[in-house]
Amino acid sequence: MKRILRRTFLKRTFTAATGLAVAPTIIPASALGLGGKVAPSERIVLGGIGIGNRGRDDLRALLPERDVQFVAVCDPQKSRREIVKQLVDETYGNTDCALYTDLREFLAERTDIDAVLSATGDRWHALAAIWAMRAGKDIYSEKPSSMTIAEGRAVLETAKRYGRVYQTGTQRLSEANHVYAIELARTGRLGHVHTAYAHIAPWDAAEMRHDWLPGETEPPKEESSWDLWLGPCPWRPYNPEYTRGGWRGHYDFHTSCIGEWGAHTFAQAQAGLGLLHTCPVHYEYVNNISGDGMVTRFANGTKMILSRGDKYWHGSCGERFVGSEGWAGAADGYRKTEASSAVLLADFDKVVLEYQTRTQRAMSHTRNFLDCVKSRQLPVANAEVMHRSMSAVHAANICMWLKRDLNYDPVKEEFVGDAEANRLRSRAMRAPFII
Amino acid sequence: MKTKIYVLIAALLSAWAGAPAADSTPAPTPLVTKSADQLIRVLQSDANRKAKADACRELAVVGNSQAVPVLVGLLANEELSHMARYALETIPGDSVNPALRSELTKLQGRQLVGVIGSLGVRRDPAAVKPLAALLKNTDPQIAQAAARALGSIGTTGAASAISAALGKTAPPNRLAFCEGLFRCAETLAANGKTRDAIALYDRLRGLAEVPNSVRAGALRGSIVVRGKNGDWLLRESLGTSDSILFDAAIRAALEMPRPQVTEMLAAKLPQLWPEHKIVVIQALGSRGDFKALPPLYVEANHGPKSIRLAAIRAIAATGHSLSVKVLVELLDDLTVQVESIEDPEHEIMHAVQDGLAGIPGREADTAALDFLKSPQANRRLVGIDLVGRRRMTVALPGLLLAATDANPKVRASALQRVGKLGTAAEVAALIDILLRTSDAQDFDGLATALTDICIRTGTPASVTAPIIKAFASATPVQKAALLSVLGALGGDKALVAVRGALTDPNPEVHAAALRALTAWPEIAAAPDLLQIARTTTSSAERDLAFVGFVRLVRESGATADEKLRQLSQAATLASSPSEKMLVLAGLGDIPSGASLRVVTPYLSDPAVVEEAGAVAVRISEKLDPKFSDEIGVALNQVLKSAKSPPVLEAARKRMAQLKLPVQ
Repeated sequence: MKRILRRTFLKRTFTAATGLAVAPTIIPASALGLGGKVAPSERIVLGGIGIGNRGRDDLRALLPERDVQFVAVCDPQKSRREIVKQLVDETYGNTDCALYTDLREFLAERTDIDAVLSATGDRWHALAAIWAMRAGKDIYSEKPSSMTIAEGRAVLETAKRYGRVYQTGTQRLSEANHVYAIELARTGRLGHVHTAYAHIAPWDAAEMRHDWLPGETEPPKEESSWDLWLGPCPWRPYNPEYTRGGWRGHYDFHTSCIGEWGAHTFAQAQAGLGLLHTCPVHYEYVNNISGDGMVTRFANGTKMILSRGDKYWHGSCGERFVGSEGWAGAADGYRKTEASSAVLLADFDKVVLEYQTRTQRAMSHTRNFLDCVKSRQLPVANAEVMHRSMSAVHAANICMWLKRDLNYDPVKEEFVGDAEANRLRSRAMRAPFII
Repeated sequence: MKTKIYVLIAALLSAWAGAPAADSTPAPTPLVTKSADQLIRVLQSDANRKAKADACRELAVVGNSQAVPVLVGLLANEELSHMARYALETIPGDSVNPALRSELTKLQGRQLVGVIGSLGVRRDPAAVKPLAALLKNTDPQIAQAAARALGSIGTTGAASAISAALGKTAPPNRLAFCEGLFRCAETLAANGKTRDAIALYDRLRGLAEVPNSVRAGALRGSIVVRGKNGDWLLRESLGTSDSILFDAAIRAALEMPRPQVTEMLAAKLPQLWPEHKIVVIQALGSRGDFKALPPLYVEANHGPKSIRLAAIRAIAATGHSLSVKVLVELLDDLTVQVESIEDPEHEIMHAVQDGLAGIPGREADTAALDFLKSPQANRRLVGIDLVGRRRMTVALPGLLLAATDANPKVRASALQRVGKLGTAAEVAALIDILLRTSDAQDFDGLATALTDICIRTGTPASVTAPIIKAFASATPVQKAALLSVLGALGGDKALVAVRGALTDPNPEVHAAALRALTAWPEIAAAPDLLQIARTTTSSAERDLAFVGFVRLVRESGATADEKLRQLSQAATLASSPSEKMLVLAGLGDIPSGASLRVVTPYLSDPAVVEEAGAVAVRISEKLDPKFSDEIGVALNQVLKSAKSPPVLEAARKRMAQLKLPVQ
């Protein structure tokens, strides 16, 4: 029997199916015994969607990987496209990085691309992921990865439907300090863990803005396509401030101070509680602007409490677990995981090694994604992890917006006895940007 | 420092977020501001686009059947069509769907695509027929939206409609039509209509000229929905040479935790292409099923290194107690075979050790202890590594025994692990070993182990007292080792002991005492070092003492004045350029007029003028402008003496900032 290697297969299928999007998959180069060298034909061909500041951080982590070849970027903003092209071309010493404005054209034309890095604003994350996976791409999608519970569900279903590898950008799940805190909680070293604290962002509020910035003349479409920038969101007049990051805080574009960090920290907390397959069933409204102190409860009674500021951390994006025999936590800026006693910290290397042995996962979020593109395993922040933790984010937001306690059924994915809350689980998407 | 800065920023940001919004930034507003009736009146008024869009957004939460006709009336409005759908999609009850359906024949373009999408979101079974008609629409966006919406409705009728139209639709629509069929299949399967779902997946699987994503999804669905009855298909697909289908089969296998699937993957392993084999090995590892172990063991023993490494990692990932036995067996052979790091099998052996180190549980603990007790040195080394990485304090007696092993590698490795694992309880045993040894390498290992224990457990006193006690009966070389521990630990009693050792007639002990002082962790040793630097006749000792003194002063928590006083003392002793540079570096840490005055004379010393210039600029940049007289003198001297362009430029810049005249 003759083997059909990836590129051979691609060429053949593409010829046979002229006009159709075809999507290749990867043959692991490591299996070929290539050692440090990866033949061009065996590299993961990568593309980018909406890559700004944060996306460039991801890209800088991906470009040095020897089994990656970044070939094209898509962004409705010309200036952002060109910054990425410059970065990529300088890295490779050529001028090959191709530019695209419209995601639909990008996905239809670039059948050679195996996987994409998506780092748009919150409003586009889910739709871009769904379209990309439907086109056969694996995807590393920045967070927060959905604007609504319905969007998260659609991402999860699409990943399953097409067997795609999906990783959301909750990179602390791949950082040793956080992994250690999570494993201390998960393996019972803290005793019975009754509470996890999850950090929420110290800026913005849970309640959102509904105003429009003053309208200005739209730039030429080749400079910045406002229609594409808005994507599935309600129309509003153009103002350049939105495209420079001023979309944050606006209901149509942002998931609030809760989603800003909660997209990370809820997943971190739920990982340590062993509850990544579900989300809290109860949300207690707190009468403040941010949700600081909101107590959420899982079906087993465990609490996840939202916390803002430095009550439990002296860094950012932290989680902390409190058990009957001590506490442990981590945050950005920590040299090491912190815990209630030195004894709890003694086994750092051992516990992290056990985690890596059990999961076969790299302590690098982007590397974990690339490994899974090859192995087809589920990455650490797979679509289920994203959907469940983001469901908690959305439920907490809805709790704050409605200013009342809420009960949620994670199996039916609906609020119990609250019709208004249920109506906030989805938002109609603007045509033609629909799922 | 970084953390403090963060806390400050976070506090400021928190304060900002909590404070009333600035005039230019509108504050957040409530989700719902009006009643449904009021919102409807807004839509019926001549309010502007923004007001009506807001009303729609709020009606999405509180709208009722009374709002439906008003909203439907906006669906043809290019500006408000989307927002009308925004409200309509979530309004409960029976009035919305017929209203949306009635618009299907009236609208076109984006407005029609949107309404089609909304009917799909609302899963309106009565919309199947009109949506089916739209599958033939010449506008690809409309035909595709209809296919997806029918898929969301997910009835057998919807599936039949898409299926019937699929063969005739234009190629660009095909992916959306397949998406519709996938959605139907999922809904049918969830509703127990497994045969219908299988039929759809098989239809998709049999399509020619469809994107690879469809081929992959169809195969995955066919296997998963069939359950046990799909094992034949999984088996067949694992043997394919088509990487798209192979990957899909692997994804399907990951969704099926049944042991039979493990057995199938395992059975297929020997027949696979190498590039597929490694993927199956990783899949087997993630299943946690001991039935994967025999074939993994075979793969770990033979073939390309990358496959063997993957198999070893998979065996460990399985995490079963039998995994330990398999890895031990592998390691048994490798410890005999591998003699050096250059050995081709070394990487394999290392991977097996990693695996054993990373499997939690008693079986692996026992295996590690067995290796530690082995008569073969190579295996003892493995055991030491394993008990160390597994943090097995129960192995400390064995490690202490290994610290007296006949093999020097074993002794060194064991001492290293005792230092990482031991507590105050091991101190006496280590000192005892030290007093019985004569090997120079062992002294280093023992001293490091004792120091590590103390620093890690924060109990210097537990070591200091027994070391001082042991000192009396120690040989000179043993005393030297003990002094190095005291030098790392510090403390008043230790300092007294080290001072005593300084007077020891044995030169080895004397030299060790001086080294201990130069490494001292506390400022208390500074006077001793200064005294030695001033009085010794040995230039080597003088250099050591001088460097040690300046280091202690710089690292101490003393006040700036006190540091300056001590560095000024050092300055009087500094004779070589390197010593002067050390003093200058210390002075650069102290931003004061006095320190600048101490630096200024060095600006006339050709051997260190550039360094002195850089330090003078550095101090002047941190110094309050009230010291402008001192700054002016020093920087004018810099301009006259220094040659380094960056230094000269920085000096001019600072002078310009302070409006100091250049003389």
